[in-house]
Amino acid sequence: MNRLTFRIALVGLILPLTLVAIGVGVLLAWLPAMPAEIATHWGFSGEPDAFGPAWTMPLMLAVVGVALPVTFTIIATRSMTPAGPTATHKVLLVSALFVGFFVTYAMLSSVALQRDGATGAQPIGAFIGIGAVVAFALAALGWLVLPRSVAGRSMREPGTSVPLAPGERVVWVGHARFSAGVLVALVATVVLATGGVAFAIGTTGSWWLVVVPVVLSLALLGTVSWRVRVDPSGLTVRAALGWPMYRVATADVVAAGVTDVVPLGEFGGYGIRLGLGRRLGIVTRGGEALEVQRRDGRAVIVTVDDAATAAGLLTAYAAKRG
Amino acid sequence: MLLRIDPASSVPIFEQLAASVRAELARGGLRAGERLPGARDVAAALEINIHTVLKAYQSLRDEGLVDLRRGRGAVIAEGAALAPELLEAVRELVGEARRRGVGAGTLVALITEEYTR
Repeated sequence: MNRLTFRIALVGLILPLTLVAIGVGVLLAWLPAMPAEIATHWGFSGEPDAFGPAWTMPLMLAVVGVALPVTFTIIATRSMTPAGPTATHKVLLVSALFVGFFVTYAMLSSVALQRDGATGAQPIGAFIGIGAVVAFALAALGWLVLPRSVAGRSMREPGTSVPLAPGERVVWVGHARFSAGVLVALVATVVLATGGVAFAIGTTGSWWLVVVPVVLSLALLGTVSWRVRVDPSGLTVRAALGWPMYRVATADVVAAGVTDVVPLGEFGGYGIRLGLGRRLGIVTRGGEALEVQRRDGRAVIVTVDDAATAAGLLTAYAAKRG
Repeated sequence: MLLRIDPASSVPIFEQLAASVRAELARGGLRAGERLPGARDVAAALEINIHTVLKAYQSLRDEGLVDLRRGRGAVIAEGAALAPELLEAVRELVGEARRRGVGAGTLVALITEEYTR
């Protein structure tokens, strides 16, 4: 195990899982002193609104406290190149540490408030606030432990020049569509979320939760397919339903080129994504993409085939405008 | 896909549009089964009439390069993409013509004549 791998494992797995293990141990040790029924959930007002048997607490901590950090770290490491973590990878890894500490702390403090026959009616807000601050400080330390972030892959010049004859109208049209694999994963997510919501409605009777799967489905449908166009006015990226739509006017284009997108590493997923460095991504797959840098420092990235031609034409229009 | 028209040219616009698609096929930028952009999008982008675009797509269908399917639009037909060997041969031919100082007009005339034999 080299130094890079060790530091990543330390922040993303070893520290958070150690914290969770300690938390589970303490909870198990406290179990005999706990009331049989304890508060397991607090509402927005800080008052407990759900109760359950005491043994669910160590179990919940073990499940959530392992699943979240492990998921974050897997996502980060799977899309990482041997060069090292990008800033996005580092955010994911310190999030694993943040979550590992925070769920442990939240679970311990909520149980501590109810030990030895306490009523469980104390508000928990202040404790959670302190926990969030400490978790944030830990995440900042984790950031320093991790190696310096490497820059994402940089944009290449288009390489193709598209000559424009006077009086000629030249446009480039293309599309960005989810690949079958990504689509299956997204549909599975929506189905799982719908199942979770159905369960929540069944247990709480909150019918308004129906909104969640409806919004998720619409968001998925709306972003499955995008039409991409380069014409004299600039770049237009429009979802199949006509909305949302993104435009970059020719006058705002500083540079256009080809880039390679690593969806999870750079944008944390697929769809309409914001990456670090004010990069808006329309990400439907990994690989070749059109990158347009704007005058105000922001950038738009769209995963299209034949990005070089699109970039070449946009560059030509931008140059013509001066 | 790059679409190129010159409204000032004597060649009808639908012909120019069809030529753009043919050029894209020759370049290897379109694969069989791939969908051409919707006629309405192309018309809006090039500021031309939608019927002109449809006419271009119909002429491509008549050549057997695309299939027009209801609801699916224009799809590049199986076998429409130019064989890479042919593209390579054309490149060689043009290179040879250049070396011998033969212009494009003369070369096209020679090819047309060869077809009529």
